[in-house]
Amino acid sequence: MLKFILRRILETVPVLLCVAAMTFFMCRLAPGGPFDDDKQVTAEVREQLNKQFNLDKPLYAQFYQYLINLPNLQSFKYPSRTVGDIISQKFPVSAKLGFLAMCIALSIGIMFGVIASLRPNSYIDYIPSSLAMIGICLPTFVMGPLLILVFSLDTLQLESFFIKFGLIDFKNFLNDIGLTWIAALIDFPYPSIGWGGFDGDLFFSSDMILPSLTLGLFYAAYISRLTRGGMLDILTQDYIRTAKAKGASAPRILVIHALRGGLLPVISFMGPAVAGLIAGSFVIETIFNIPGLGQDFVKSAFNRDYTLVLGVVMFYATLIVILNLIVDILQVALNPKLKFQS
Amino acid sequence: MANPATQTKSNGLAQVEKGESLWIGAWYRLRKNKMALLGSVFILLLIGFSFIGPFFLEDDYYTYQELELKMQEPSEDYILGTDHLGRDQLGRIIKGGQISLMVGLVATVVSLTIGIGYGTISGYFGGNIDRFMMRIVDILYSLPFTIFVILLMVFAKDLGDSIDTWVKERGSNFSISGQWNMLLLFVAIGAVEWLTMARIVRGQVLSLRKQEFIEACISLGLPTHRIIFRHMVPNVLGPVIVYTTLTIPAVMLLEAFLSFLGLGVQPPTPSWGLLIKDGADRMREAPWMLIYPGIMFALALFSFNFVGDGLRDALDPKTSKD
Repeated sequence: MLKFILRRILETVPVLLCVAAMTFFMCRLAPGGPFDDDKQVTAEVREQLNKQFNLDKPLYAQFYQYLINLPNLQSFKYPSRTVGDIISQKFPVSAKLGFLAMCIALSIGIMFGVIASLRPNSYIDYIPSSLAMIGICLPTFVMGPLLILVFSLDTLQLESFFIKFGLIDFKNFLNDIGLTWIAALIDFPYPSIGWGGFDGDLFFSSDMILPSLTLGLFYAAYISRLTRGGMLDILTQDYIRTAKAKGASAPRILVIHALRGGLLPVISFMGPAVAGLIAGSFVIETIFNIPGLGQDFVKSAFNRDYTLVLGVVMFYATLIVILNLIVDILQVALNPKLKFQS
Repeated sequence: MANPATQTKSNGLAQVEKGESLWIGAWYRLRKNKMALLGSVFILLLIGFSFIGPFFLEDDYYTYQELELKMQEPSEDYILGTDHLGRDQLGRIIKGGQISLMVGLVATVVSLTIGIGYGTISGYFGGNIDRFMMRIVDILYSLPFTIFVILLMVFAKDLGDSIDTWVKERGSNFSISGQWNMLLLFVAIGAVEWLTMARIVRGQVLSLRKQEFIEACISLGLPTHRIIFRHMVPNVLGPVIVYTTLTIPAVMLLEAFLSFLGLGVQPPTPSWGLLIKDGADRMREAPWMLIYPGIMFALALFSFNFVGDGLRDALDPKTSKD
């Protein structure tokens, strides 16, 4: 086990180097430079700028310098701030979004998946399974605006919106048939459009409800499908029958015996999911106008802000590699079969 | 008992074994799957809508604009309303469908080619080559690939112009910059989506290699290319077809994602992702600009996913989990 972990840690070094080299040379071999858009800049000033940012040195020297000193380098676009500054200021916002989304995805996804697997091919299965399919087919950039449209317009607009689609007095109708809590949801003041600033509260703030829901539901859909598949595999195994024969209660079998194996596909999905979550947060941050790292990344690529691009890519790559490492170790820890192999 | 597959099985001892191809059995299983059938009908409708629809419209159906008619609600003249520049939303959705479906198909073919080639080589040679090649796939899996696609789309954007000037200097009139963005999309997306395909093909080839009929081929002294193309490829085809249908929606999703960030298709050419982006920016004033492209896109993904799932159940009953 220890050997396995050590080998995996050693492997990450060349991987990260490759990522750095790919990013750097992709940036530098493409036409255009960070100061090309400033039309007023004379040739002399540009030369001066190039010198200031070491752009006149040979590529390998620049690459080496980027490698050893990345967090302390200046951003091209905001010369007063270093890459490390920008990342440490913006990342907590993105991290909070991602963390909340992951919580939503895991809790809803596992719950739906387990429910669906209990009685396969019955209505208890069909309803969560089709909800999951809908979730997969409604990408975040459709779901997000739709959620805003439904939940965060003010009441008057919302009612005129419902009337337009033939749902006159939708809220009263909801109240009449007893779904008061949905009606209350419509009235709930969602301050999700504007952004109040990062308040330092990692776990909850109301302006995170819609963004994290949008991001989380998409992954909840995937997770519920994976959970269902994994649980269906496990629930037909002999050891579950043995547990039943020994008289273990149904919840005990489910939680202690089945979930451990049934969640394996979910755990191996977590690695790619984190990478996807990061990419997804780019879109969410654009839709909800959240000042996270994702927005900065896309902007910095457009601005040819080489240091910031490389910094953000390396930061995310390291994050993903570490999380993948944790996922791999968890997988081996949970799956005795793999333990014997390694 | 409509299914001859089960019939043959139950009477297998009494009757002379009647050969039944995988495809006929699969067709019987697929026919029972209502959602998959509905999905394939809808895909056909969608292809007709996007590629035959334009024949009934003016030539400039997706660029013609009347600025004073901007953001009109759906009416008799404009069934799906107009967009923020006074263009017919129906025409935009038709053209957007063309682009989205085309990107979906072409980029899938690109990823298919890479994936099958890589997987076959890895699986056929096995041993250390296989171990090395699959380790690379594992590592690539854990990389933030969407980030690379974003970088590639941003940084290689002007490369088309550079290629044009380079070609012109050598006295040719060949121009690539018009289609450059689309080409880039195909390559960038195709280069990302081949990993799973490579894994699937490799697994299949690896298990095939141990089967007796391949050993028979080898001991008969058949040339390698004949073994691969005549005996292995048809057996790998099933999972490949299944995964292809599942790659198309993934590719379309990635294209829409890029277009939404302003990195994909360039205006005035629309794709569904771009239309959704335009709609999302103006959803308070003009919700129809978001809702109709959104519905089309979601339905397209829905159909492809259902057809893919259905094909998996039909072609590969062993691995199916549903």
